[in-house]
Amino acid sequence: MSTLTASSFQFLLDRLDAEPEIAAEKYEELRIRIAHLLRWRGCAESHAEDLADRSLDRVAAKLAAGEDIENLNAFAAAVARFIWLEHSRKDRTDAVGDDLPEIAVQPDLSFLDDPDMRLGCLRRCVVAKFNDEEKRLVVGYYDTDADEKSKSARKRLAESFGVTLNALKVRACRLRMRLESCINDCVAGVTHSSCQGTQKQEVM
Amino acid sequence: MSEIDRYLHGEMHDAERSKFEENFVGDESLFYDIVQSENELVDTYARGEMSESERQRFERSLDSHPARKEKLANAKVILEFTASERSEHKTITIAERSAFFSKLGELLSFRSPAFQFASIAAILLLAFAAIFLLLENQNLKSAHTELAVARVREAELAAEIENAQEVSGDLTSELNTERLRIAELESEIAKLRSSVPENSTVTVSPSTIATLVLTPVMSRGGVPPPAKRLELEGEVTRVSIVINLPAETGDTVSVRLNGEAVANDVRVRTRQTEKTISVIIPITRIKDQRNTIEITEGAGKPKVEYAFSVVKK
Repeated sequence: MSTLTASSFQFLLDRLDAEPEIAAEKYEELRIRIAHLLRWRGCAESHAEDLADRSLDRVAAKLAAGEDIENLNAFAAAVARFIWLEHSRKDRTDAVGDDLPEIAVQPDLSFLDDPDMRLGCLRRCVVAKFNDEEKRLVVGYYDTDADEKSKSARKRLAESFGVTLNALKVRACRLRMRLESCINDCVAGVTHSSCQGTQKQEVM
Repeated sequence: MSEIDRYLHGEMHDAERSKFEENFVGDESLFYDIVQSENELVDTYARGEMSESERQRFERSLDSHPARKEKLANAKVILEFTASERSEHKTITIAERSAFFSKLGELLSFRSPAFQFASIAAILLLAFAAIFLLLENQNLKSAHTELAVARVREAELAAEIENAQEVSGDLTSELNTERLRIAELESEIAKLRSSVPENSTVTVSPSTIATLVLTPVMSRGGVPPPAKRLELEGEVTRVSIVINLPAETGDTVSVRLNGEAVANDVRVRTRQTEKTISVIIPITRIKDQRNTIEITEGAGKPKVEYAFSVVKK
């Protein structure tokens, strides 16, 4: 359940940066990191984005309520951990009661057995969401084998894009996140349609 | 074993993990280092390049990180995709190489625009070269004409020089003839003196006759021929004129002095190759300064003209 209001969201943006556009970028970046924190805590892919939103909504609400937050990033991380605990506890209660040990919530991954469908989703995502330069970067960055080979290949790639290795790393990671998110949405959409016995449809 | 590695495998204590999370949420570089480490972890597993212990450790992490299972599934298709892109790129590269030779062939074919363009350029170049050579040829012809004119002029000048030299030679020859005659006359006088006895008294009266030898001269460009100069003493009453005639002169000629006939049908004397006549003219008929003698044959035009000037003392 979201506690976000327009005014509290504005409090959060103002805290991130005085410039609205930069504040929006920082918000998105913070949301990505919180979602990953949740995944690395054991949250399933299907819930990570939603729980990240709920975490930031709560941070925004605290700011709007006038709470004195010294370190916003550390506060957001703490809120995310609390949200994850809440979510885990609720899942356990909903399932069999409070006495079971804490375990990660695991989604139904049966659809993972169809690699052709996932590859098809990947190809559609690349065509629909990536320009030629982004595709070249993803292919060049992740088409590597041994460590030494990948280092020299990535160095050449960074030179060809005119960026540092660190900047190339950040760009490649962000593109892969976008690609995986698109693939996951695509697969989930196709699977959901199949389970309902309707004609398959793609979600981009 | 790095912090990132332990974090990704869920091997940190709670407090350490919480602290680590607070750090990477505020640190872009650390966050993407973790993201990249996880990508490499699943990619290495997907490629089957892990050792047995690494594989077991990774598979244990999958139990506590369900999102990683989906990430692993994505890693497999991403690897497949990049591999196919790589082979496709190589195929394209080979195709591009083939296309290169094909393009080269097309470039050299008669129907290709490049070949046609090159042909037009070559034709234009040849046309310019032909025009240039034509102009050069015309210049050469003009130079040849000028050279021919110059050679004709050179020949004319050479002829003029030769004529002038001939005239000069004639004058020299006339001078020599005069000197020869003087020598002959002096020799005759010496003979005559030797034939007269020393004790005989000879009264030599002053000479009343003067001798003049005339030789035909050529007139050039309307300029009168040079006149011989004769100085007469007061006792001279007649002038004996010896006239050298041209070789083609006939047997008799008539002589006119200053336009008046002074002798008709004078017999021409021939000595060796020289033809001469002699006339004696009274001093009264001779003008001071310039006099002209005309030699005619029959009633024709004057054949030869002579000029001499007289100074009476």
